[in-house]
Amino acid sequence: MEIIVFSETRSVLEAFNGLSGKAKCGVSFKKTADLKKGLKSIDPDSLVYLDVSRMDDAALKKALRLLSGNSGLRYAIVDPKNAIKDAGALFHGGASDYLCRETLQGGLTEKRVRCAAAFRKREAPDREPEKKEMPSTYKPSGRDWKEISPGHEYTFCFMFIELDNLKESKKNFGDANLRNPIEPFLRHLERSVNPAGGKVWMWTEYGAIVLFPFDGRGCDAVLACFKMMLGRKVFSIEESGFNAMVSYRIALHIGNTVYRVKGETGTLVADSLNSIFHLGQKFALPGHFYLTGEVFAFAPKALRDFFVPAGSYEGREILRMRLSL
Amino acid sequence: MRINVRLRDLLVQALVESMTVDKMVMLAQRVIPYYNLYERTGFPVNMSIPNRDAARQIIDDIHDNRLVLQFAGLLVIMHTEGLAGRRYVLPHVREIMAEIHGAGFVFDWEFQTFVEDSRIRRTRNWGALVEGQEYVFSFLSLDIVGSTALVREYPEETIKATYGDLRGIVQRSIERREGRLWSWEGDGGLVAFYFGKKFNAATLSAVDILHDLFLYNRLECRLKIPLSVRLAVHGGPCEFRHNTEDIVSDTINRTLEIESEHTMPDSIAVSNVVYLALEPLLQEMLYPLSAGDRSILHGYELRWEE
Repeated sequence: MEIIVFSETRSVLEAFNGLSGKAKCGVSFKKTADLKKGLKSIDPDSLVYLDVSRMDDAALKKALRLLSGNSGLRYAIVDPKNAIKDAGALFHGGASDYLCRETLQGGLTEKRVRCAAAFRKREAPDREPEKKEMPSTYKPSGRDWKEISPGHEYTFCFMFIELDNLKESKKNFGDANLRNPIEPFLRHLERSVNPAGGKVWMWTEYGAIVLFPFDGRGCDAVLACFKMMLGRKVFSIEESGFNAMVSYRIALHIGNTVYRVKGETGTLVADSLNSIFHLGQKFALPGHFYLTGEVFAFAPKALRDFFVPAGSYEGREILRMRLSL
Repeated sequence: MRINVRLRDLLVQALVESMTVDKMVMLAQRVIPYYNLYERTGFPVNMSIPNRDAARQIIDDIHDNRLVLQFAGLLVIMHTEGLAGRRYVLPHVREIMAEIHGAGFVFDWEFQTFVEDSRIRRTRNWGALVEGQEYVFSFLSLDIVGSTALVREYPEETIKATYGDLRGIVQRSIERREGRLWSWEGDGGLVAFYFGKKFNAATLSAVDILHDLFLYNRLECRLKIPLSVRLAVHGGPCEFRHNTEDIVSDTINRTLEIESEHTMPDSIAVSNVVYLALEPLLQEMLYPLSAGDRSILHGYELRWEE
């Protein structure tokens, strides 16, 4: 997300400059006179902050009309002189945040900006939610990690991922040198699974087991893994450091386990965990992505035709993603 | 970049404390050709100019010509690697770097110049390119297929939102690779790449856009049919102008021509100039295209195993 600040006021610029050092989002500054021009070339994911301290009533009304008339645009008002009497009305007009003098003096935080950005999310297309039947043994862990506590049993989506052709890689890079190319792969994995709520639960020698919370309605892990498969060539070229196409296999399964924090899983016994290890290590072919029938039932409808039957394993129906060539 | 008093003083001090007036002029001439210090200060040519006056005049002129970053970069190189075979020890270089870093610029050792820190700001010249100078860029052109028909068929709001989503996809992909959107006409745009592995970056951005658009069409698109684009990548020399719409360039024209005349919907066409500079793994992803005008092009599209 990009933050665009229209201001010439020193205190405002300093407040946002302080933010730019800490926040992960970029901050850019423009003159308030360039508002109209600036909005034309704006990234739709941006959050606009407009300083109104140098505007008279007419200019303020005009600027607010311009901002609220720009559908889909997220904007906030900065009022370093506390000149606006009715800040609430700004929100009725579509603003996401209001920064008064005291807020600016107190220092702007990344959390504040994120809250403002989340206050008015961008419109999403209307889609009819799909009703799915959930087995009675499932104990959904929720949409995220908030309700999950160690020592209790939950239903998760398990992801197995491991680099392929390790013998060959060891021959090419040497055992000691293999660590360096593996690091980018692990970073890539974390970056890919985090947006879907995935957490690396166990590291294996050249891969990992990732847990995704499961709410019984959908399985975001499928899309995350789909993207990893689609982008594996780009990753190989751009980030891997292997100087060769990186091949990895992925398997997904939904099942129950007692949750224990990372690092304390050594004595854990769970059928689901065994199943995902067996599926990933014994059944999965290099470079492929597999789902169990349990996961497929919760996969996004629009992606289901990319999965083809791949037989059965340990009594479970298995599907394989068609590869992009 | 706006120069503050502290940075100005540090630059002046660095010159005064480490070199003669002749050396200062030689340095200034590296960024301002034919720079004449006597003409600028008004001192008669038979008089020697005091060190401090010379340094102040040079820094003021550098600032007026918006060349502070280039000049500071020269001092950094002079201090770290030497200049014309001689090593120099310049005082205050670390402070100068810190001051410029505070203003949102980082030193790019590969290109030996200060460029903007893209986490803080993103401008069309990366904070480093100079108006009127020629550079070798890599360009990526994108166009929505059948835009006129879409605009006629769907309400304005739907089109605006959909095109906005596409722009978001483009922006995310190019900014990861230090690309800059030079123009966006609503139904397409032109992206420039200059730093780093620019040919790889432009081609990988195009591939990334195509992949993201595929998922967008499957999962989010508001239209009844998938949003379809054509992408072309080409590279070559081009004179930089801050107002990028004023740029007249054969390289850009050729990029647009490849995109409009030789690129199929939902695919990428890469010129041979770019192809030859790509990493072998990326070259392997492309297939040869036959262009009508005998030029060699290479293509990419998302294909699936049956």
